[in-house]
Amino acid sequence: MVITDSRPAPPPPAPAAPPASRLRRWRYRLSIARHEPTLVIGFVLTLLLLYLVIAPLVAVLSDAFRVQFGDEPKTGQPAGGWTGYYLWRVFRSQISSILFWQPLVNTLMVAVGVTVLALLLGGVSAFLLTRTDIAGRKWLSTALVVPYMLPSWTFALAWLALFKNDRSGGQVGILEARGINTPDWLAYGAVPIIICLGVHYFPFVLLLFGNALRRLDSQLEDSARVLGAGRRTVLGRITLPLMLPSLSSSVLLVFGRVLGTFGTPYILGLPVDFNLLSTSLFSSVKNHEPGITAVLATVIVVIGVAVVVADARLLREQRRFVTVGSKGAMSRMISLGRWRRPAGLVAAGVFVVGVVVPVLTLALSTVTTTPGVFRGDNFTLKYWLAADLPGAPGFPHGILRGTELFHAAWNSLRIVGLAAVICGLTGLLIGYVVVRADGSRIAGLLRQVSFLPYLVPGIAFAAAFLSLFAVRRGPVPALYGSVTLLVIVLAVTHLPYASRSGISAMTQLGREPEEAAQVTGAGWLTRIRRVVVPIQRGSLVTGIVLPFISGIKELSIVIMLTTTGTQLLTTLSVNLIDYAYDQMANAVVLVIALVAFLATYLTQRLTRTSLASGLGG
Amino acid sequence: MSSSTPSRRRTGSIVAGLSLAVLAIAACAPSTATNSTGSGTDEAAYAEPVIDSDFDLAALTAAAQKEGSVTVYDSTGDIKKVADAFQKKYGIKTNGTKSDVGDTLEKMTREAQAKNVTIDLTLYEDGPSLVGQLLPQKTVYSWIPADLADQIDEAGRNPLMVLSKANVWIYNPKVFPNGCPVDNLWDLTSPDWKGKVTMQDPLGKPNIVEWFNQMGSSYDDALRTAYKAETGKDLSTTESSAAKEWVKQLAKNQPVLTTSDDDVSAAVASPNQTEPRIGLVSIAKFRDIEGKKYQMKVCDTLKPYVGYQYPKYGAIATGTKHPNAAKLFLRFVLTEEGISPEMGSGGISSSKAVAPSKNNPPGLTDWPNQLMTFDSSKLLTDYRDAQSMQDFWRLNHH
Repeated sequence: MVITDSRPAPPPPAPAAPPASRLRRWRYRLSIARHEPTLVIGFVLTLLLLYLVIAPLVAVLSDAFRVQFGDEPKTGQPAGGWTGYYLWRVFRSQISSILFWQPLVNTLMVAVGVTVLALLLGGVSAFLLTRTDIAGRKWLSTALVVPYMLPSWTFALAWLALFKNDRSGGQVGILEARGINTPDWLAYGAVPIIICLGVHYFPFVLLLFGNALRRLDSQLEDSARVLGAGRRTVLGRITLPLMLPSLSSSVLLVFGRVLGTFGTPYILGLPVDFNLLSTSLFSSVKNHEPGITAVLATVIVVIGVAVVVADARLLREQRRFVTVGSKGAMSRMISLGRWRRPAGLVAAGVFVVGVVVPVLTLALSTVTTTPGVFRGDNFTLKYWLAADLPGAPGFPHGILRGTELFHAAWNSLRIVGLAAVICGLTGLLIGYVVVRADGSRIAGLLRQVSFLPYLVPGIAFAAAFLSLFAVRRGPVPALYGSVTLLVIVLAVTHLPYASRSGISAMTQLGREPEEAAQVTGAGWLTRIRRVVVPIQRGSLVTGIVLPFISGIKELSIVIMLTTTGTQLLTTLSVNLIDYAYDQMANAVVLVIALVAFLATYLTQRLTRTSLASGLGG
Repeated sequence: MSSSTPSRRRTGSIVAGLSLAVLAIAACAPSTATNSTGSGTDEAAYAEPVIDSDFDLAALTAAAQKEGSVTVYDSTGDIKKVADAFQKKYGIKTNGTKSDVGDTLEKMTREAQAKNVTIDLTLYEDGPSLVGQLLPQKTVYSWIPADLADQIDEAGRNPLMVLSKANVWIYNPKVFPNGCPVDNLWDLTSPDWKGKVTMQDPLGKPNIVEWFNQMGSSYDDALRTAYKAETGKDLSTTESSAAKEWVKQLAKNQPVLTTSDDDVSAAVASPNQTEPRIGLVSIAKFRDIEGKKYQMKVCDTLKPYVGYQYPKYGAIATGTKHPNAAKLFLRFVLTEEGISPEMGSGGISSSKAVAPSKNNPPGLTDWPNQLMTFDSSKLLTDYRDAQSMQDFWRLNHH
């Protein structure tokens, strides 16, 4: 039987401390620290992370209670004084329902809707891919992850290109242009937002859930059947309870992501005045209301924390058991028989809806002058190639001409790449400390702190970083407008992925190889460089690639922090939307998707790792 | 999920304890608000514009060329052409960027606080936040080139105005061959036009909110007269002004709101458009008649006014690293050569030496009589009233 208590063996007993004075004990510890600097590194990492994660949040929180410049007449207090005005305005004033309550209800509704949809799509496809002999299984398991590589608002843009009606001004979408009326509820608001985000996030569930299903030993189910349990009992008493951790994990991860998502709700919500907390936050930033921004950001963070705490509580019991599926494990395939092909077609259909349709729609829009009119004279390559585009003073040539696109692409690669490498290395180091110093307070603290950024939705994080690093704080110079700030923000916000992957990889690496090196006289740095990193190459790559993919299509965070000279691909695309050059904006989105896809594909090819191994755990 | 450790509970409480400690320490860190405090609580005073007494154009040009580059933010894409012209003339690398006033305000404020200024100057459309925030916080200052000072009227000096542009109501002459279908601003609030009035979202476009406020302070009688002409009755309203009543009725009439006025002009005037619509756009959009074959005309029969003039101000970042290049650029846009790229579809320079544009859109011939004008002396009041007007709009539009 394979349910075991997975608590690690107690650490080897420390060499008996000499019964001597405190001083000697400290000296002894110091000399240990020199050879085994795990704790010291852990301490430094923890302090650094606490500063980078908690300090911005505190800065934003304090903005919520202080009179901001220009609000003196409204609050009757000098700027900088304490006030409850912003709280009142957000929670109790006449417009609080527009600013906060309605967006809160909408946010919860959308989050629940997206989670359900993602679970449905992800759960079913995970089951089909891991437990059945569905046709085209291998191909599908790569293809179905692709929606996650497209920027999330790709779906929104594609949706508009298809369904946009005359409710929102501008050009109508393809359907409307062909005489098919699309009602408002289908074109804008909750329904399309839920569908677009659901399609974007289901690969998340697919990866987590699929991994867990794969590890689940079907002998457990067989044993139950042998003992006389019916199908339903097996499902209810064996399979589901064992799947609960990954189930709740994916629910809450998706839920948490939706809270901070800004692009899609912004694009699809405005025409019908459908606001989420994230878009409400964004408009208060745009209206230059730092007090309101602070209150809203705080609320989003609180909800995010609540979600993760709930997750931890739910899992507390489950965590003590893991299924050890190494030797006796057996995965029983369900034969679909004549349903093999239809099932494969359905799964391929999900791929078509999630990838082919949006990408093709966008691609089509970039080569037509007037959307939805498919006549010879309406097709053009000018948005890609033209040397001169009349009527577009903001971007007077095709996107492949001039330097803007390449400059932005280079910035994206440079900044996101650097952040991803920092992320990967830090993640591995965190994994090292957490595992090697297991049981110590630092290890526990570091494990939790490194996951903290996940609780903070991107847009709230950006607002917080703006508050903190806009001015000089002690030894930390003002970072606003610098590349450094972008790198730090991206690295910190994507650290949870990397530290997850680092911790789970380090758990599998015993002390022995390192001890062997130590015996031959290798110092700590040498051990890391020559032993740990080479062995962990695979997980290091995952720890770099995941943040990279996620960062290259990141919008919520960078949109508030980029300035002249630090234009990224994503901000370039949003700028083009602001100029109303839809075709060119869509073209840039395609470029982003291409970069993200190539990066993943190449790394998978070169290192034989897969995305799945990083997200799991 | 990783396995648990024996000391889970303990670590949990330590995390909580440590986080609290950090919170306490960080709470002592000053908030952004206190750092940005400029003046006191009373009148947000702002400095008079600077006029250099020892102005020497040749010296300024030389110094500017030495600085090598300049970055200017403006809310129109035409700024690129101005930047190119400037670069060509002086050999100074010039970066002209289109940016919403809200973004410009946020970025300039943050850059000034961070003392890392990349935006050297701005051509800025939002007078209220200019005199309410940027000037009193000393993020920017107003500067007038001494050699052109005589050409600029007193009304356009504090803060320095560069150009007047206009937002006008437009219609599609292909859909309405007999001219504009409405002749009174109050028509737009009638059931006939429900869901057919297209404009930029006032919450994202400060000059629309300012227009609402200026209508209330300067054009109350005009609106009441128009109402009487339309209905034959005197306007009776519980709102504080006729303008507010009009704004309320318009908001309730389900106008189609967009993020940019390109979407407004596309909705009214794009080639495949057949729906009856009225839209409020900047006259800059008339370039699309040629560029994108749009069908649009100013609604010249509209009473009391067919739209409004809005000023565009020029201001230099206080912490700029290219002070001379910024000054030279600002002087450049006060000359015909510098401003004409922005007057491609109409506009009036603040400098009397520059003739009004001859490219006014069809139907807009007489600016002073056809358009409302903003009163610069009411900018501070407009700044204070901006939020309540936004709230008023939100409450009625919802």
